[in-house]
Order: sequence, then C-alpha cells, then structure tokens
Amino acid sequence: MDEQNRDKWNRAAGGYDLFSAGPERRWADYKCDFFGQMGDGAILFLAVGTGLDIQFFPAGKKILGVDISDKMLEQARPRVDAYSGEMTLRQMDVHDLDLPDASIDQVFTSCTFCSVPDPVRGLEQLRRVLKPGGELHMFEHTGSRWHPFRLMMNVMTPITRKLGPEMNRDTVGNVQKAGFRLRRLRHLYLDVLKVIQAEKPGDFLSDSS
Amino acid sequence: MKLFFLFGDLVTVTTVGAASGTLCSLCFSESWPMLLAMFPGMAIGMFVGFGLASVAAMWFGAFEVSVPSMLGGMLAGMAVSMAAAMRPVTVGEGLQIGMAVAFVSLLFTYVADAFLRGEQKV
Repeated sequence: MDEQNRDKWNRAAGGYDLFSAGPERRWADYKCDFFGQMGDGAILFLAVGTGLDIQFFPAGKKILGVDISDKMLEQARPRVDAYSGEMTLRQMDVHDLDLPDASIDQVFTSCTFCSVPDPVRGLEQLRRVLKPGGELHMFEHTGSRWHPFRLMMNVMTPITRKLGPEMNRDTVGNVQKAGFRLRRLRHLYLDVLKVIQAEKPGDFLSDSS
Repeated sequence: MKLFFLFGDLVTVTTVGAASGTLCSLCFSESWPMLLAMFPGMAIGMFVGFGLASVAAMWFGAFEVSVPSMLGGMLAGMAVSMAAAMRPVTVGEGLQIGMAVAFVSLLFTYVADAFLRGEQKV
C-alpha cells in the first residue's frame, strides 16, 4: 500500500465533506443519472471517500466500496449502514487490488483518477478484475485541450497535487492505454468535467493482467 | 437551484476580479515596464482566483467556479497591472477594471462551455 498517498487522504478526511458539499449539490442531477446505470451484478465502487455519493445510488444494489484511506472509510460507515442495498467496505490500494480476476461486472469511479499516483496501473487493475465485456463508468475531471484553460490548469497542478487532485490529467487517454475500449464520452462542463464509459474487451486473449 | 449557482458564479468571479484589480493597483506603478508588469499581475490574479474559489466551492461547486475565477483573476490582474504601468491607477479604478474584466471572463467561460459540453464522438 502507498502509505504516503494513504496519509494524504487521511489528512483530508476531516474537512472533506465541508469542501465537497458545494460540488455535490451542483452535480446532483448528473450523479443521479451516472449512478443510475448500476446494474444487478457485482459492482465495485472505487474511492468511496466519506460516502457522499451513496445518496445517489439506486436502491438494492450489491456494491463493494474500496478506499485507500481508513479515516475516510470510518466516516463513510454511517452512510453505508443507511444504504438500502448490500454494501461492504474494504481498505485497498487501486494499484494492487486484492480481488480475483474477472470477478466484477461494473466499476464506478467518481473524481478518483485525478488523484491516483499511477493512473494507468490503477486502470489496468480495474481491467483485470472486470469480467470480459464488463463496464467501466467514470465521473471525472481532467485537463482541457483548450487555452487559456489548459495553461491555468497546468500552472495550478503542482499546488493542487499537494492538497489532493491534479488538474490536468488525460484520463480518457489513460483509460485507452490501460486496454479499455471507449464506448461513450460526455462533457458536462467545458471539456473538463466528464462522464467516461468504457468496456473491457471480451476476447480471452486480453484477460491476462 | 440553477439561479443559486448562477448567483454564486457571478458573486465569486466579480469578487475575484475586484480583489485582483485592487491588489495589482497597489503593487504596480509607472516605474514598471508594461510587459514586465503583465506576468506577475497575471500570477497574482490567478492565485487570488484559486484561493477565493476554493472557499466559494463549499457553496457553489468546484470547476464551474474555479475555472472562471482563475481566468477572471488572471485577466483582471493583467489588465490592471498593465494599466498601472502606463498611468496612475487608483484603488477604486483597479477594483472597477478588475470587476469588469472578470465579468467578461465569466461570460467567455459560459460561451466556451456551451460549445464544448455534450456527447462526444468516440
């Protein structure tokens, strides 16, 4: 486990709900649509955080929520207990998921891959645990292709990286590098906030991690 | 609810512009070469924008507030620092110029968003 990354998010746990309240309120409709795509199979929700997204989950689903931060998971516990479906929490590092190959039907992430230290490796782990044809659903913020937004985000990233996320990630590119097949891309705000849908190719040759 | 966020964007970005413009009117004078004043003015404005937007985010959202705030702050800082290098700029003038430039930046961001959002070809 990346202890430096874990400690960073443990430090952020205390103020996380306060600073996230505004964005969660503004994105509520988008998140209802996004999590509305949860199906009836085994679901992995990566980076549960304090569980703020659980309010948007459809009822009665079977979800494994993981996070690197034990402090975040502690705060998520009451929200998990209140959820109507079957949800369990485990502390895990996405770079080294303690899950069997091809065991998950859908993976959901929400503002996660801006912060994962080695995003392609993390995505490769997600591809490993997904069944062939399994779905990756991501609600992420990325860098912009367009100036002046691109310039500003490149300048600010060295600062934001210390506090939490990077502002200029190429998450769509990383998803493709990790071997996923892109199915849908929808921009929610500029080309910065977006929904990415991808699938693990279904041929058996691509199953090995 | 959308009016609430529109209000939040407007208040945050114009406050950033006012703060950046005011600060730059105090920091720069005719002793500065104009092109040399421009870059620190932009940096001051961008950091003011980032700082204030980080606080405003608790109520009004993340990128929808921080992106126009940083842009507005950057351009407000640039405009006032360059103006101050050419002629005396009072604090009141810096505030007004900063607010106006930041407001236009917010409009620019809304227009850019209208063009960039939506389903993309994959």
